[in-house]
Amino acid sequence: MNYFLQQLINGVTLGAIYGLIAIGYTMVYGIIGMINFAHGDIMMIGAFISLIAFLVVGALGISAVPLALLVVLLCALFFTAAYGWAVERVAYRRLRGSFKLAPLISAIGMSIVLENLVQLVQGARVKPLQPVIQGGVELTAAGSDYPVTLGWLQIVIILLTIALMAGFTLLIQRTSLGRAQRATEQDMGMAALLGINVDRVISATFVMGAALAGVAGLMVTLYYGVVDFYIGFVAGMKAFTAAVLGGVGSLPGAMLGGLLIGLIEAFWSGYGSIEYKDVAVFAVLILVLLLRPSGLLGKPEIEKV
Amino acid sequence: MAPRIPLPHALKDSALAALVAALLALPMLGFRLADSEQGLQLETRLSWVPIAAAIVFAGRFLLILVAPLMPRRGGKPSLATASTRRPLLIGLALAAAAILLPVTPFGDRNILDKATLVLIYVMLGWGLNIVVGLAGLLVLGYVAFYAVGAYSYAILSQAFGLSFWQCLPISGAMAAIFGLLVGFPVLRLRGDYLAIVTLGFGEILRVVLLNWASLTGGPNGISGIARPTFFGLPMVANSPGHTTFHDFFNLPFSPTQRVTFLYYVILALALLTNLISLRIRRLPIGRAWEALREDEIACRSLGINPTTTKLSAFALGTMFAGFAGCFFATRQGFISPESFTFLESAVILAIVVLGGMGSQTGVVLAAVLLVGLPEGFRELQQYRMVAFGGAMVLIMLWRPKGLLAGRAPTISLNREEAA
Amino acid sequence: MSVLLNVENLTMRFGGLVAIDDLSMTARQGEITAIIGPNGAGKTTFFNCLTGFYKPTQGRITLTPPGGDEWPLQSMQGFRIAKKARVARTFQNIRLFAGMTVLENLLVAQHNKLMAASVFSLAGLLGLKSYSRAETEAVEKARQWLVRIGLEKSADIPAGSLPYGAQRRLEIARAMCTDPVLLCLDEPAAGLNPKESLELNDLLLDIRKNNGIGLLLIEHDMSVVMRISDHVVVLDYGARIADGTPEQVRHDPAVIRAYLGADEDEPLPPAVARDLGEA
Repeated sequence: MNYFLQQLINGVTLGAIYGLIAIGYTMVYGIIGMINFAHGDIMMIGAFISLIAFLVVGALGISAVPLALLVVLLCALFFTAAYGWAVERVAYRRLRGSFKLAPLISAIGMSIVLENLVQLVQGARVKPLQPVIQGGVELTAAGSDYPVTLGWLQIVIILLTIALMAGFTLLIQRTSLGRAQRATEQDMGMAALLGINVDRVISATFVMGAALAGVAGLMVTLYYGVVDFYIGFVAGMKAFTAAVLGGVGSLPGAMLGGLLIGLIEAFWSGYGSIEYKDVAVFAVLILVLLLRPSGLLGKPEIEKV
Repeated sequence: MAPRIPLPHALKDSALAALVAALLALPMLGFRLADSEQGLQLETRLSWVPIAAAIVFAGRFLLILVAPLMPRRGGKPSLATASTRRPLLIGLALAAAAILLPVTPFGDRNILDKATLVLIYVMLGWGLNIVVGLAGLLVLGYVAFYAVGAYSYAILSQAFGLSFWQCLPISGAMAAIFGLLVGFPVLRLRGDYLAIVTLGFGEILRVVLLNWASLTGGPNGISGIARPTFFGLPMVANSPGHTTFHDFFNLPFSPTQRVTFLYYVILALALLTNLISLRIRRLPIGRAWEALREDEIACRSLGINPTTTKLSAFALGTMFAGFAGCFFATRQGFISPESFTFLESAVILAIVVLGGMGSQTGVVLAAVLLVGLPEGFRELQQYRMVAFGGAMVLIMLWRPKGLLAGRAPTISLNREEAA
Repeated sequence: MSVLLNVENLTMRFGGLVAIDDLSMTARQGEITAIIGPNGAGKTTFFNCLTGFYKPTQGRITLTPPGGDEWPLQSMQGFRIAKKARVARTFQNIRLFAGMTVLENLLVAQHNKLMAASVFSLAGLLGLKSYSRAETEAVEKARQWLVRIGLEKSADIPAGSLPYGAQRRLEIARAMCTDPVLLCLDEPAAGLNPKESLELNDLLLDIRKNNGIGLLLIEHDMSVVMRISDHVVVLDYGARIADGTPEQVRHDPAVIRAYLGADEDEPLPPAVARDLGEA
């Protein structure tokens, strides 16, 4: 029972991270119908930026953990968002009217560029970080054989995710930018005719998705303690699976999907085999696309003839 | 009269681009994470930031200046209305050159070796071309079928002692069967979803290869794979109890002999792939593939079964990947999951897309550029991948249909006068 | 003429929206049956149910070719309706294979016959005579159709570069190359000028006469509908509101009300009422 509980906690934490990345995939797909293959690598960039920011902050002598964390968080948000903006502007904007596979191929190229550029400038080796947040709350009842710990880091991750989700939902539902975005998602041509600057709305979508991915990158850095240039690929695939599982185009779907994927991965590692945990997630992707392509919270698409 | 250069706009635009570049470069280029005994250290190289900004400024400025002079891209689909004879002549010339290569002064071992590698990718490109170029199915996990072919041969030759020639058809069949199994549930998915799902299958296969050590040798792979024989004559220095190749032909032994032989084997396989592709385009199934690529709904309304049509393209394309994999295994003598990553799939896809979807000569050109050139400049290996990804993006921006795009019709009613 | 198509109580619902409401009608072989009605009446939805793109919520659609078996179209898969039951269609937004030549478009239409002749492409790959003969026949058939629609000279140019009217004619020829027993045309006159519409009329009448099949036609252009149809069915809000000869339907007050958008109990505008001979 305790083991189960621990896997549950781990799964929820992982799920929060995947959910944040999944939002980027689902928003971009919803608005321009394209899979941003490079999104996972944006998260990787966020992880690297977080790592660098931590070291800079440490070098500047800031030792108070909450302050350091805040500075690093802002850096991750800001710089990763800038990368997201640049990628869209360079690789995707001109291809919007092009044949349907062009943006995907460009995205694959961009992903390769990002991964290898980071490898070139930062070195191919894995980068470890000293643990920043340690310890946690013991949840075990007295006399149990398996200790269940809810780490402070895990609490931070979950709370931060909830806060970001809430803020994000408010942004989409209440602000004019959110309205413009929903309108563009429904009918790009009409939105443009009504005076919405579609280019800017799409850029904003990418920026927001990238910012969230940057935070996810920060979380990955803290949680796993190591980063390398390849973490974006696998995490990206899993987050994409989460977006599809929840229903592409649906924000609550992305979070729900992320949560489910996190739980699946945690339980599969805990009770099954850890080598095949990635396979389990990929298998989920294939099953969802075959059996229920619109996902859990998405709307089934009717073919227009 | 030359158009006026919009100077203020160009300057402002370039300045903005440079500013963004500086912003992006600040964390990534300005700092470096270095390993040391005390753990991770931070090195600063802040001077790189203004350099990067300056490069971007200059580049963007030049781009804006040059843009009005570039021809407009896009437009209606054009057919290669010129005769189909010119590409045919070029193709024949290339084939002749390839056949004659070993007897030319360029035919030394090193060049033949590199040429063999390029030919493997040409064959893979032609195989994927059937799936992506003709049938329009974007497949990102092609390397999985390459792996099936390679591992089939490796395992069968180790377990049952089958020779390369015996295994070649088996590898192709296994890859095709695997293709049918994967394709059947998956091919009805829409473009980008199909791409991701096939990518998923490719990754699943790679993880399985990595972990199912009893069958595949795990991360160590399988080594000591049998080399091909020249109709039963082994091509080694000496083989007790067997007549070797050089004995039979009364030649002094030279490792170049096997290299040349391998070269001709892959050349033959590649040419076979090409011939079948060219021929099948003129058959109803080939036309159905292209029609399906153009408009699936119209195809359904004409009574064409989209599932079986797509499956046939998939099975044929994966079969060729299987052949190529079998050859790869025998050439290297050793295979491991490392050779079958997603990156390989991306390279093969890039070859097809860059060359021009559906263009046979385009694939050759792209393979030479993407595989041949980097091999020649081994020192720049690190930059190769960045350049490769950048090339994919640039080609999409500049010529989304590929370098040698344009479709030659498969049949004509009004015979043309002499070209 | 025998009944070719029998539609019984067809209903199509998308969630809460009823697109087709208990529609029953018949179309006869050797006749041109027009389906008309205001925009949004469900005409294209009806075609989509007929040709397997939608699965009807309720009802039956039965195709009975003369001397052949009955085909329950409502439960058949899309491409099978074209392949086995031999129902061909054209689309509201022309769906030609734009990058392929005019001739190739017509050859793709004969795919099933050619595939059978090539024995899963084997006969083709080996260059066997049986296949080349079949291909020559197919090209000849295509050529005859090209002559019939006046596009013989354009056989080798990409279909996408044809002028609009020619593209429409090509789409019809392509549908006919599948040897159908029922040809469904979705707004074939859309975007055609009066001269082209007259040519379309001639083509359709010619098809009716020489090929002896049944034609089903969705159209807004009354100069086409009134001139060539034998039988007109009027839809409004997914339901049938009139069914008869063109003359009968033209004077039906319910039909006029539907087009004018007036309610059932609203009086017609005086000028219209005078025309119809109503008080």
